[in-house]
Amino acid sequence: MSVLAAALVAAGCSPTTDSGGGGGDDKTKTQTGSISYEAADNQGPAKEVDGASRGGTLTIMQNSDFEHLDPARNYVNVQQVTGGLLYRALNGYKEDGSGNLLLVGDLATDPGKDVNDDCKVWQFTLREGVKYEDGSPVTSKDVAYGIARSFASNLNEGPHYIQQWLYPGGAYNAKYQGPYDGGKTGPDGIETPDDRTIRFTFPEPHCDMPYAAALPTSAPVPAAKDTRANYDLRPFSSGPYKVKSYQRDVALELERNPNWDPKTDPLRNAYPDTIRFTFGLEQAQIAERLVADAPADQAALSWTDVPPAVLPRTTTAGVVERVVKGPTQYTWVLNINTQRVTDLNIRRALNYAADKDAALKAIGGQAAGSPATTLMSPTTAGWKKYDVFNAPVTGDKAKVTELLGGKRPKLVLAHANTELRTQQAEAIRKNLTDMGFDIVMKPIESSSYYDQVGRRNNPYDLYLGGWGSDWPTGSTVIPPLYDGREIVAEGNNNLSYLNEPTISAEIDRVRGLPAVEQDAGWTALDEKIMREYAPVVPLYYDAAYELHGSKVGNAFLSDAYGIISLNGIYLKQ
Amino acid sequence: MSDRSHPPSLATPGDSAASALAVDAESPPAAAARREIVGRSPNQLAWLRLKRDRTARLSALTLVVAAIVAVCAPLLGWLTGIDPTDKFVDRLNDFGMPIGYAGGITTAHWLGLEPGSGRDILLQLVYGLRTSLFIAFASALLASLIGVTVGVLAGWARGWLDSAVNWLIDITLAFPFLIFALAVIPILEDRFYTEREAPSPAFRVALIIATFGLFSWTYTARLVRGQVISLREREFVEAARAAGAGTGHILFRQLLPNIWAPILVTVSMNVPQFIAIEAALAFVNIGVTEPTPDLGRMIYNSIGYVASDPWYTLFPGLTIFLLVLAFNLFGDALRDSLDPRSTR
Repeated sequence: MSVLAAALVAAGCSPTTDSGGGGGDDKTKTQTGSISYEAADNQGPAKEVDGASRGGTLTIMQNSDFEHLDPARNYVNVQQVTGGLLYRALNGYKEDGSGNLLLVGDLATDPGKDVNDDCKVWQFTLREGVKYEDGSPVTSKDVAYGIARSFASNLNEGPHYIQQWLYPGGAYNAKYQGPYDGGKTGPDGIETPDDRTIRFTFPEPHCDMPYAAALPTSAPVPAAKDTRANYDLRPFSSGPYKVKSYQRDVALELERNPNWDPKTDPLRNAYPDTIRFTFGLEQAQIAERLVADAPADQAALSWTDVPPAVLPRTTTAGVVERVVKGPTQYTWVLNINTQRVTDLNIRRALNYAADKDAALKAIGGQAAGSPATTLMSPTTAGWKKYDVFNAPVTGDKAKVTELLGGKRPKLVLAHANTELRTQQAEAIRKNLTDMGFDIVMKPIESSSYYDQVGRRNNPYDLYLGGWGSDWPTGSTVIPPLYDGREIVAEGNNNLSYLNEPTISAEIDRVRGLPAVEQDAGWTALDEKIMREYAPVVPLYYDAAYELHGSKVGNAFLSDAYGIISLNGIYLKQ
Repeated sequence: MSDRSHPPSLATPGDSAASALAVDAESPPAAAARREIVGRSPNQLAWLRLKRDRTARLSALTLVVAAIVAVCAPLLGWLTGIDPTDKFVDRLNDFGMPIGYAGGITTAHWLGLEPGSGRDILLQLVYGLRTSLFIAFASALLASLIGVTVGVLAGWARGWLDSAVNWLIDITLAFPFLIFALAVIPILEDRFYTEREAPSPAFRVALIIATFGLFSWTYTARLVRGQVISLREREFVEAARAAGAGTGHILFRQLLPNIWAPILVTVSMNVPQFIAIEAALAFVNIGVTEPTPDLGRMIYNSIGYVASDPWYTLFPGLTIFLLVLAFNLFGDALRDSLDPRSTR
């Protein structure tokens, strides 16, 4: 009771100031996302970090366990960064926290050779001296096998770019379903002339192949070690660490892979001796422990954002230096179901009505993100800010009234039923109701939220959705989200269900442009979609706000993944 | 419990000196020269005892104030010009925390603002109190109604009906209330409302009241059944029956007046329980939905802010604490006044 009284007095005597968010500077890092063929960038070992020391155990506290560490099923950023310690894909991202994101060869000696200069045939040469955890060498046949098994229908949770490009026109595994149950050892279009060479031949040009080769799909899996559905529990290591123990929903422990040769690896320093992941902690609990920085937590960090209730306590000296924050590659939009809301004026009115400030403050304000006006996030290469509507961040009631013309449309707003999303939905409801709409709120169980709104004939009009680019170009944002030809009965990513032939044609056109012109093409298409069809209301660009303990060094936000990078991390001894 | 059917002068020692003969009817006052002796009925005696008890006066005052505040919530809204769902986002800083002292207390917002949403705490509290008190009272009344009916039925009837009712009470007690609520409330809402309609807040409130009522009548029923069983063999019941009274008369005019006292005490003890349980429902997402203001949901949302904005946690927490305390104390005092010989 006295503690509460003391807290009250303390909280009452010092006023909360308006700058509690740390200034509100509009720091949106633009990724350069460039591909580098320079020898200096592609050669191991990774550049030493100033002041780093080897050794120690790094602890990573997480809210929940990983769903899949299997490279064929890995499509979530925390899983990809963890997987990146265990296996190496053909390519990888080299970054040092300064915003210079470089794509270089990881297993491969360079990001890929465009053999005929038509982006249809890509050849990768593997490095020498890369070994698995048991000392056997990594071969190109293992890379081919890793991709082949990703066609299996029960290993389908990962990205499907390479698979779709090998078999265009139809589902990615319509013609080939993987090497199990009597299938061919490998898909058409992949050749491995020798142990160190792998060649992809695509029917259509794909100049983004270097980026797709950075996804875990191309991680090597020896056929003899393939435990199929159980591969999640113990991926066979080709990286600097291997799995020591994995107790689902409790802890995952990684120890050094003695057969990893740092001279073959331009990306990873692998300073800590062991890395330990603990699962099942509450979000607020993790944040409190990291703020308190007790000796047991000083060598710890977390990828879960600090919840809004704990944010004010991260601005004091001693804590603020341990905050890792910044924009991520996700953009959150309020999808408008264009199958139901067909009146363009209503969609435009919604864009004028949205109070993005209130929607952000409901989930943590500046720590959660910054107001958005574009479809692609500022982290995308070639991003340019535009604002079709130029409405103030709190909305423009006059324009809304003008566009609605006396009508009061009734719209159903669906939201996930977590505490924060409910608060955010209520903020949006109140805001739109004050602006002249009739909003009905429908909560959806959070574990099935995307399933429900991803159904083509869902009964809702407005629902939030977030999407992050798979690699920093517009080709992984605009086509999956705004191409009407991608719409299927269930499991859609095109949540606004926009189906306009002009847009689909434009997507094809930009895809066919030479690589150097594509970025500008996507940016122009972004603005065209908003200007002509307004299928969504861009709400905010996501930001990460993570904490680490005082003994953790070189913790920076990865531009590629939007969470603290582990490649150069070390523990102060 | 004490026997009200006999004159207390024969059976009740320890009555206060101020009260005189207590008979079923008022006796005429004695000679004016002596101190006036006024006859009082048991109810009047109980009322006098209650009035004298200071704890009872204080807690009753608290409850009356709470009731007035809750009922006059719209008046407060009209006075301040604020709606409980109004968001004052411009008074929140970049993290969504209220600017200023003590969670944003200013002359415009007497208790400050909610972090994140920027709603006025005083208005949310007052409207939320209305919702919570209404649910708690209605549930208590419903539970008592069902309990009394079933209890009287079981106590009066003998044989298989009594056994059947006992069996029903056992089943109801064994049924997991929370799981039932978690399952039934969303199902019923889906049944009556399409995917594009929001269930009206009244519907959810009604569901909650129905669920509480359906599960909380058992204590009252058992109590009433015990009372009826002990009373039905009494001479006054026999006398009434011999005089030709029907079952209805005996039940309503003879038995019920003697058992209303413990029922009243049970109701007053149940209400704070319902307030607390209704607050707990917010934790499992089946409480009153947004945007209806609700005390329980406010407490649930405020717990995380204990360290960052304790004023947000303080006000609803203090309110529910005072409310439950007042109800419990009043219930105690009521029981004491109705039956001064009951053990403390």
